[in-house]
Amino acid sequence: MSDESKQLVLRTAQLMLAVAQFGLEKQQIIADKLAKIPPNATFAEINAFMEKLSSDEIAAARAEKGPN
Amino acid sequence: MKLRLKYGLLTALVAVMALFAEGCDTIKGRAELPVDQALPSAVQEAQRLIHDTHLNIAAAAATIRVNRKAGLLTAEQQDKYLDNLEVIRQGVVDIQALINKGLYDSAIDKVKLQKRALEILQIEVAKQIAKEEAARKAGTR
Repeated sequence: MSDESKQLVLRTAQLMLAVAQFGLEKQQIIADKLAKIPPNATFAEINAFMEKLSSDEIAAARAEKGPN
Repeated sequence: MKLRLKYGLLTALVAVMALFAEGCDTIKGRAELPVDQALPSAVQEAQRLIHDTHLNIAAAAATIRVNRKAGLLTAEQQDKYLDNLEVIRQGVVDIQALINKGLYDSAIDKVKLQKRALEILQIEVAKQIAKEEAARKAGTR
């Protein structure tokens, strides 16, 4: 297999892993955070919860500094 | 042989993209939160999509955070992707506000546009992460 083909294989595998990561993060959020919505929450409370959830996760991602 | 391999890999790539385009719920999961049954059925569907889009935005942000921490995204990429994510989120919040006011006109179409914008962003982020990870593994960086 040529270097070009190997690189293509690697890139494809990495892309699939990266795509899968969105799904895994989503499942994690469903398990960890959506479970905290009280069963008797009103529709307005549920909507507000979801808006806060996306806002909080964006804020947490912004706060991440990273190594470089 | 080389051509066949490339064709196979391109097919796999298209399949990955289709995963997003079709919104593969088996893999991605859904919020499955209750919606107001008093709303018109199309608006109920819009509300479900809003919930799911918030969830997907949260998952995308978490993915960006994790990969920024791992050094697979630069600070500039992190800022750009999160700015785009914020724009999509604000679009969804605005649609929710209209629904809350009883302004249902085209709510489902408006949410679908935001959902599609998010899917395009997810693909861009995934491609960038894959590119960096592959470069690392190939030892070219």
